[in-house]
Amino acid sequence: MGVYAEPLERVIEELSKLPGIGPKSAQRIAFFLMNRPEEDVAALARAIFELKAKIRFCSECYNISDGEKCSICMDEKRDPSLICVVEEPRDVVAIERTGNFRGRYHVLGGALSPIDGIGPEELRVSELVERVSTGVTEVIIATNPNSEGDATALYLAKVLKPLGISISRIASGLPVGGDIEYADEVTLGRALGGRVTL
Amino acid sequence: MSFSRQPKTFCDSGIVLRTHKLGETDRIVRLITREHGKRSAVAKGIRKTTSSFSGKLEPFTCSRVLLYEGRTLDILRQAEIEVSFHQLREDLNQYLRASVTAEIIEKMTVEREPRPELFDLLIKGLELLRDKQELADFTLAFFEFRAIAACGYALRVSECANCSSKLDEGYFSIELGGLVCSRCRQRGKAGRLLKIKDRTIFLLQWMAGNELGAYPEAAFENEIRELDFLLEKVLEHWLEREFKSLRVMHALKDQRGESQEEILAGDSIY
Ligand SMILES: [Zn+2]
Ligand SMILES: [Zn+2]
Repeated sequence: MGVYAEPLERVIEELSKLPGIGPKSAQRIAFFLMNRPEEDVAALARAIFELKAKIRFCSECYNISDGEKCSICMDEKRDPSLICVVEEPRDVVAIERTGNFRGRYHVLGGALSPIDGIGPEELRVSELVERVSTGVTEVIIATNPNSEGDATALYLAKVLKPLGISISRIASGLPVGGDIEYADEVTLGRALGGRVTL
Repeated sequence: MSFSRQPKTFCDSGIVLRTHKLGETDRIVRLITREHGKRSAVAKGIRKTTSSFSGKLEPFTCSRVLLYEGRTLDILRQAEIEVSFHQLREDLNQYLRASVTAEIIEKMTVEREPRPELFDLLIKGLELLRDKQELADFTLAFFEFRAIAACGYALRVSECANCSSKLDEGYFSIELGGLVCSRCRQRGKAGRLLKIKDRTIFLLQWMAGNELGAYPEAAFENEIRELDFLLEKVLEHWLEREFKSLRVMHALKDQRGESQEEILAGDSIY
């Protein structure tokens, strides 16, 4: 049984489920909302509701989209024969920010993690294989440089190789602005392995 | 009325079993430390590319860690790699097998209860997986055998697990955790049974008399598959859990031939 009136208690409970929001912040936000004009609160509620109702996954690349296909897949100027494979929609945003990639994406929806029971069936791997068999010539794997991302890249390379396309993985190594002396041996080893000719 | 315990900081060797994302940039790292048992610790900022933790707390890495003990979650203060075991993350089959060893240790341990023998077993298992790739299937089976024994369920493989009399045939009882004689089998005292080959029995007996790190002289390609199947059934029965990494490993491995489920004979009448 909560301290506050039931409707307030319910808002606090729902808010505390959000990432990075503890019970204290949830209380603060709930009181803030309570004191806002009705139309402001209604606008927020509507926005949240529409997020679920209108946003879906692109039927082509599984990126977040507000229509059947996402804006990148609809863009005629983006090269459909080049695909960059990422784990999550947020990674698409990160790569788009570089402004260096002119191909299209494929969002796996996660990475292989045997101990969590996540195998290829839990990811959009068969969808990728199907896409690649229809006119794709190059795949760039941009899974995270951690153990799950590494395993996913190894697995994708194995299933995509027989299709006779060019496959690469984004380089990993030292972060820009970092110091070599603080780098761990694995990262430094990879940076050495992936060195570039000057 | 109770007094809150003094929080404490300690240093120990820990092997990372798994990690979970937490919030925007943190991770919860679950590790088995040698002297302080299994711990769940928050590594703040680890997912930023400039974190001093990055690369030091990947699964299977053995690091020297400085932990601040919290009520349920610890906080990672520092980590230095002792053995990175990065080779196990660079090959898919190795990664799968290492995941199985980590999951077994995770499921066999209780939070914060020191189990140095399981820590040592895991280190040994990971070293062997890394150094003896061509023998990895056997290593994993032997690791499972030793892990089961370390938890006090040593399999009974040289006499009947029900009546202790001499063995006269090759049936393994999952429930009893050992081979059974024909009399006990016919009386339905042994529960679910697996019919196994003589050479598999030999291998089980060999394992009971050797330590992880030893390898039998002859090749045992076909028996290892049978052994794997048997040990997995025992693990799942006795720990009453499904092993997720085993399921994923089988899904990823090439077809393992016809299902061995068929050799499971009828249920027991107790
Ligand atoms: Zn799309
Ligand atoms: Zn008997």
